[in-house]
Amino acid sequence: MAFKNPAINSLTESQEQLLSQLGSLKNILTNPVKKNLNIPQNKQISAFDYILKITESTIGQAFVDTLLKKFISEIFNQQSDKLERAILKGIGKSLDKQGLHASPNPDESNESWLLSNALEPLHFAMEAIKALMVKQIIGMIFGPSDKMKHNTSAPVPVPISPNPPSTNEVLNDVVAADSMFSISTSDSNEFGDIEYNAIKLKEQLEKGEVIFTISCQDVKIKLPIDFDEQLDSLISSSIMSLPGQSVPGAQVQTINPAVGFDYISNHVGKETQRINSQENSNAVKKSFLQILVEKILNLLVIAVAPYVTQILTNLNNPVISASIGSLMSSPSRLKNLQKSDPQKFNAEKEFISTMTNALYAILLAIMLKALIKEIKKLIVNALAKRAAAKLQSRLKRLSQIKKNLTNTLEKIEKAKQSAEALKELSSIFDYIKT
Amino acid sequence: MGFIDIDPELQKSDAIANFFSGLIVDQRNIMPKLGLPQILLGKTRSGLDSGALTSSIIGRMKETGIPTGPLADGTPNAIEELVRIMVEEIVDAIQNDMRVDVAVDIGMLVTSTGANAGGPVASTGANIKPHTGVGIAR
Repeated sequence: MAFKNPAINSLTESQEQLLSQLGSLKNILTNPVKKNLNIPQNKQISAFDYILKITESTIGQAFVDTLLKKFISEIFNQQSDKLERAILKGIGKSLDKQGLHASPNPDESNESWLLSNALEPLHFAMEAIKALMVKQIIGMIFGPSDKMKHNTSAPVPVPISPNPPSTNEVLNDVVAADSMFSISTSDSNEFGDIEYNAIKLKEQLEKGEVIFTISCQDVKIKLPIDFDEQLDSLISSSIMSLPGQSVPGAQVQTINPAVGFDYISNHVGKETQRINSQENSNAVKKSFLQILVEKILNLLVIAVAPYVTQILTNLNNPVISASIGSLMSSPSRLKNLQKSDPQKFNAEKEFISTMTNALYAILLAIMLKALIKEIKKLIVNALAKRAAAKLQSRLKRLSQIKKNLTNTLEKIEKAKQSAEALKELSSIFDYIKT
Repeated sequence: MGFIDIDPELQKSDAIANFFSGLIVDQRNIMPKLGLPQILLGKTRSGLDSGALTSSIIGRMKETGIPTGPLADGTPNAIEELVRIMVEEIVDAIQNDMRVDVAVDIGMLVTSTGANAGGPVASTGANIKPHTGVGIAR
């Protein structure tokens, strides 16, 4: 058979145009249809994660860290009563849920009564307790279990329940709290196999070698050797810097015990630098702050419970004293009730739910306020730059028009001069009139 | 989510998005209304020229780092061609397909003259001052 060359034909303009238009139509049909997603509110991205996305894309990761540190500092600031108010809000809701009324005045709400009667003694006691809690919470995050217990030998006397939870009870609470409250919402089960993870976490906490997944890396961190020494020194300095504790006449600046968390963040960064490269160290440390904030939200309730129990008992309110045992259920009890007795679970979760959400609201408020201020500045600067660029472009165009006009005028002038010069020669051209 | 839920009152991602979107809309530039003399001066404008516009756009490509001129192997610069085609088509559509629907504002002053034959008077008038209107481009 004779070899046949493939036919090659050029297309006319209209033939090519049709092919392009049909191809374009096909393209429109193959494009995925844009769906207007109507996601129910409880399945939408959490406010925290969304604010994080906005902040990271407009201002940067460093600003996120600043805000998270500001939140931690605010909660543990001995001058601030935000934590105390969150606690009392939780107690008030817990009393409401159980149908109890603390105030002799039936028109006064539980929360109102507590703020009037319990806030002052609670705030006074918390000035020292906050420093103790910082060390305890760090111990709860990293282990081992003997570092998790409540400090009953503080530099100054603090009210604490005569029977604080045992080391084992605290450990169980810490493990249960790991899957208690998340500042993210997820379609998938972000906690994975909860029971398996709880067992693994307990083993790690008992040993004091917890594995964190930070920026997709599994990093095993132990507390530094000088942890007790450093934190005890911080606790002492923080408590002694409180008004009324230092030597009369001495100028002492209050030390916020939240610096203990800075110390541990730096340690995590150094440990990761030791394990990985310099670049990873910066990535790890930054993401650890987000883990730290979530841990604080979950573990604060464990740290604070025995102190609050005693302070409330000291109020000598019959309603509160009678119900004190059921006002603040522990995370491990709630976790068990969730499966075994959902009704009781709903009744008893009120304190933890209210307090944790109140602290979450404080976190959101701090981030939102700062973000609104920065975004306003960003918009103003961007619009000003755009307006300046537009003005520059306009001036450039105007100067170009002026230049063109000048050129045109020059051409007209030259043509005029040329015509004048030609006139002089007309006597030659017109010498012989035709 | 864990066994303690986030309070629905704090699930405000939509509200946050709407708030910041509102900020961006509020801050946008509102073009100032032109005065009559500026509008009438529009007669001196040269009109749209796709060639000049294309050159202007290509001239600014260096601000974005896009190379101009033919490529190293001599092939034509596809982006420049794309810009040229887009500008030509848009200018062509504006000049030949666009329609501006205009409504003249009320209150235009008119003087008119006409003869009176004891009946209805047809008169011819002219506006003595420029007057504004509003046009919407379609």
